[in-house]
Amino acid sequence: MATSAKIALVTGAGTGVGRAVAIALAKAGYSLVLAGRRKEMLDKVAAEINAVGSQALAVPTDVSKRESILALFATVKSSFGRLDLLFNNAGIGAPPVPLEELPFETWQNVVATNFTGMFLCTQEAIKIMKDQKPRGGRIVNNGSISAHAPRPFSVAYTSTKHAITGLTKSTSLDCRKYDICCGQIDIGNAITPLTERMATGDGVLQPDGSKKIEPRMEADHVGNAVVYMAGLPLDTNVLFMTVMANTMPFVGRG
Amino acid sequence: MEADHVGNAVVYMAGLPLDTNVLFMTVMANTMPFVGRG
Repeated sequence: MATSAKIALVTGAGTGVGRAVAIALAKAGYSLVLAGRRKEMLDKVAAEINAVGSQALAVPTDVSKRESILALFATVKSSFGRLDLLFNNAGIGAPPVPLEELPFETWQNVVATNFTGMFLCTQEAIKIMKDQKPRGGRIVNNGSISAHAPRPFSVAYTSTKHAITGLTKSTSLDCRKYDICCGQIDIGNAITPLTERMATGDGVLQPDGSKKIEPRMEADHVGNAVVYMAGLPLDTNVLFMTVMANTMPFVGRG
Repeated sequence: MEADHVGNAVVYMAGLPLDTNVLFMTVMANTMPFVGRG
């Protein structure tokens, strides 16, 4: 696919934050590679991107499988020849259960998707970015407010999101010599299918055992944040940004 | 890094509706000594 536009790869692009970021990047002039498990969802996002005049290539991908990630990046290279931005976004949650009762398979699946998959995507992106001309690129990792504070009964999700902070810092440190920037966006309560449960019924479990409806914010603001981060020159980096619903329970204690 | 990037960051933060907040943002020269240790 011949293009003079910058190339961005978004994982988990079929819905939610990934979709919002992909569309915001397309409006900013990027050509998109859309990765996700469900092809029909990717095709819908690709159609939305085409409608704003940008290119989009949908690549069904399961980031919990290394061979799937290798195939994704081979497609990026063969289709566009370069990669300017990776938005490492794909992630899953797990049903809230007491820590000691979390099934081992659930733990492994969350770690494989949220953390190992992100690490492997980072490795493959670096291989392309450090050898391409012009050299370099940017990696933005989707952390979470859960990279700072856990929700009750969320050990797998919270552990992987805390681990992403280490991945962000190590990638930033080890890859700056290649003109690669790595930053992290920690998002609180964006309006997506994943957070629908926060706004319906009794809401979601709080640390004191109660349930509460929580405020949410438009996911478009996350898209605009990533566009800002992506638009910086490669001598400048947003290492961390926390964007959240202003009145969601996070700041404060008790 | 150019100070203009800070200006653009604040414009982004300021442009959000009041139900949405950037609680923290760290914007820095990519290769300045901060991340990492000896």
